[in-house]
Amino acid sequence: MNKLKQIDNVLKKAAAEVYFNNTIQSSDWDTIEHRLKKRKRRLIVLWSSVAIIFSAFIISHIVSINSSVEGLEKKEKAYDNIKDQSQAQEIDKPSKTNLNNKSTGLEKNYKIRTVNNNDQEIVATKENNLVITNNYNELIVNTKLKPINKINQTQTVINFEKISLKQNSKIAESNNPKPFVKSWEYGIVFTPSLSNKITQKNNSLSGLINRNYDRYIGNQEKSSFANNFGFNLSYHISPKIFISGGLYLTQRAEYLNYKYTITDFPIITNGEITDYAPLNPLAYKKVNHVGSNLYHFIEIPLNIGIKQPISSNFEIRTQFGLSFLSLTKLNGRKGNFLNLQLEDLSDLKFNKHNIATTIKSGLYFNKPRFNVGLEPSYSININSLNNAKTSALKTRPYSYGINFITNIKIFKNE
Amino acid sequence: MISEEELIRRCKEHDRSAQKMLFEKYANKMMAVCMRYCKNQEDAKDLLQDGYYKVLTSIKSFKGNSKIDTWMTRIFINIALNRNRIGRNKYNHYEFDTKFEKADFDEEPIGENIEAKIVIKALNELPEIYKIVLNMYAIDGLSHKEIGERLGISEGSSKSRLSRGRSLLNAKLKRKK
Repeated sequence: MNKLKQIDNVLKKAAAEVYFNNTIQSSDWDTIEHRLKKRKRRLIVLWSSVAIIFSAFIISHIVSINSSVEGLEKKEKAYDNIKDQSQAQEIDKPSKTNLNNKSTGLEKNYKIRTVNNNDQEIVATKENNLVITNNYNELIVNTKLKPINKINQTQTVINFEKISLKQNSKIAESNNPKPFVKSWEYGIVFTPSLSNKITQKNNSLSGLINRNYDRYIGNQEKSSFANNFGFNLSYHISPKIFISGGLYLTQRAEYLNYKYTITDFPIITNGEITDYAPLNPLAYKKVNHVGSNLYHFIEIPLNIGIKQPISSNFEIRTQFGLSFLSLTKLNGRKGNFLNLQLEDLSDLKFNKHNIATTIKSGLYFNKPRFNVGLEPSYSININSLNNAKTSALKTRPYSYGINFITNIKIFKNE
Repeated sequence: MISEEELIRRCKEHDRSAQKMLFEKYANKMMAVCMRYCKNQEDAKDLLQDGYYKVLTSIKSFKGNSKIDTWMTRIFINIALNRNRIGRNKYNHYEFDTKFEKADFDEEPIGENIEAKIVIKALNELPEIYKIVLNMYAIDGLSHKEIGERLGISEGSSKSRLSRGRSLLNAKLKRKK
């Protein structure tokens, strides 16, 4: 056999001598350049999305801190106003003017309505406390009421001795319904799910599917567990509508249980299997494989949602939208549709960039500053994960699971 | 004319003119590789574009341990093998040999003075399992171990396919001469 080694030299020499310059055109470079530019644009879009999400996160943090400072300043200002007005107040006729004397004695409550410009309600109590409330706060003013007799009328001079401010949302809610304030929510989401796929034939290559494919491979691939984890960001634009996005690490999975023996091989003519030739029994190939395949993605979702309160603390939220999924990693093995051989997923060609659609609806426990949600969700790829040029099968992975979500709220005009 | 090191460095910095120079410099050689691993010119052109795209997007991983064209050739071969799933048939050659008669195998070596085009044409007419191994071993200089890894076959299978391939090619060239 060694005497034929010289054929290698013949081949090498021939390969070096053959020129294909005339077959290479400038359009070949143009196509490559176009793809490079497209890739650059895609990277820019991807990184911009990530940057926008993180910028929004940071801005929301800054807004949150500023809001807290502004809130304190407002409260201090309100307190000063009230103090000034109350100190200057000389109430001549309790029954006609600001002071509404509900009874004749100072031991009863006094009520003054909206005397300052902050929509506050001031109540003088029998404990000589002046209670001033607005939407969210209760300002308790410790007063010393001095009745002064002046032409048969009682004039009350309120001297402030001690003022305390405390949060009282219940008073606010009961006295005045809370108006809607646009808000951001951000938090983390974790979704344990069951994942599988919808498989269809790729018409252009369907002639290459082995006659035993469904029996040995297709019907032996079932659902498997997968997890999603990520950062969630939503903007509540009206009492009922919100938009949500985020950045997730998403998995799709499938469970395989292959047990078969390859006893023949397909004969292909003009891109189609025309016959099967039996293998020599010595070349029979046993395939015995049990395991799960995992497809890892980076997911950027964009959903629109509606919410419906069902009690003071609970609401139902429903979201629907699209996600961009970038395939980052593959783990596992899979049976080949043509020859039924077991192959590593990393050897196969998959679409790197995918679009999926998601619907989720669930119950949220709502508090003024945070919420916790439990949402059943369903997500499915719109395009095929398998590359249409190389695979005779189109697969659209899907997953259904439960989102465990917790969010912190930031009010825009706080 | 800039040096190869400079050209690679500029390609790593995504310099478009350097990328074009790299394309022009090795296009013919890579087209020859593509033609040997594809069934027709159209597929070869697709492979040329896919290969260069891959080369230019992963050139940062080129460490300079080999010549740039050797590294590029390996990338083109990998894409060709993955794209068409060619050469991956793991059956032993004797199943394919049943298609050939004894006269199709010729162990008496032919001389070296044969026109290059005839040799390449004869190579392309070989069954894929032999053609790929001949290409990888004889022309592209891969070892049997590397061929085995890339095709998912044993080293022994690679050797026997090479031997059968040489014999078939020899017989074909004799008939064409």
